[in-house]
Amino acid sequence: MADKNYQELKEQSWIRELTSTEKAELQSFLSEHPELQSEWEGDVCLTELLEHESLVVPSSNFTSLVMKEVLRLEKARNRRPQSLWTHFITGRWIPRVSLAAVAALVLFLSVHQYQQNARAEMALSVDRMMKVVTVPQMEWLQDFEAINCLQVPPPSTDDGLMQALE
Amino acid sequence: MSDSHDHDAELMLRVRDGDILAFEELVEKYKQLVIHVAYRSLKDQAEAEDLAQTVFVQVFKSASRYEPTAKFSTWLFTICRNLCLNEIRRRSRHPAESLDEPVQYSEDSAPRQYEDLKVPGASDLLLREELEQKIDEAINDLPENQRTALMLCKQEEASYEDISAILGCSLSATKSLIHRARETLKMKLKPYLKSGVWQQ
Repeated sequence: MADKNYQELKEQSWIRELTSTEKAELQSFLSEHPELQSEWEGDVCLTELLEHESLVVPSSNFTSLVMKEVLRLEKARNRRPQSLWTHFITGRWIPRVSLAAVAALVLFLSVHQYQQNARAEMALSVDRMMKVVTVPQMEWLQDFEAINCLQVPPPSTDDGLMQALE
Repeated sequence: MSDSHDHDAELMLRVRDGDILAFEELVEKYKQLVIHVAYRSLKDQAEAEDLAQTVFVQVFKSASRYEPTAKFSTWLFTICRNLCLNEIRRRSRHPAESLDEPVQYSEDSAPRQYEDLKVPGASDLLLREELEQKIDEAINDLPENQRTALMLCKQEEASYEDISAILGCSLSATKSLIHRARETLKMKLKPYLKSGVWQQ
């Protein structure tokens, strides 16, 4: 067995008990290398010594304290995730949302009514203007340019009549 | 080995599904070693128990995110070590007055001495007590990472891979830590190793 194997077995003995095969393997290696015998014995002694190291004994109520805390957490967790429907039925936000909805509706209706009134008033004004101002007929406007270009002088008979009257 | 691994993972999956009894089983199984590892870091049993309680509560809180990719014990002791390191850091920032400091009493107010009923009076136990005290002192004198590595070897079915995962260092570094810890202990406990007192 190589030194490497010896080292590996030694390392394994630190964390677990060696199997009978491993022990036999180790013994045969140590018989061939007596200079390592004392080192191995020291190692075994330390391992056994550490096994005798007294573990701290937990308080008798340790588990119950942990479980009490865990149950408290569990209870708190169960209380939290309510269904949306339960929230809808029991939630405190319902009056607030209702109030907000009513306020929004009133605002919407007010704006709508204001716009209606404004439009009606404008329509009335336009109607009044239409009655006061008479717009020339469309045919006149179409022929306006042509008539304007004629530059027809007033009839001469009209001039003679005017002079006679004076 | 894999059976126990699977069993712990199975228990943890049951915890994830809300099985409180499965969690109790895990607490029962690991409480002593978790408290012991915490005790070795904090050197105070009451604080070690408080910390161990926090460890288990933390495990419970994280149960919903648990995936059995690693061994449960590796996960548990990683949480334990992180909380221990946090506590050590907190202590170094806010050092408290030690109650172990010798107190000066006046003649009138000298405390009365009571018999410690927990300690049997038999003389053959004195030697063992002394030995346990020496082991305790020797382990406490080790650097934190060596001490924790050594304590983690006490886990059932411990493996170097698990220990290195908990310590967050390589496999060879872990073995080296344990080796150095053992060599230091051998030196300090040499008289007891030779005399064979431990065998009693």
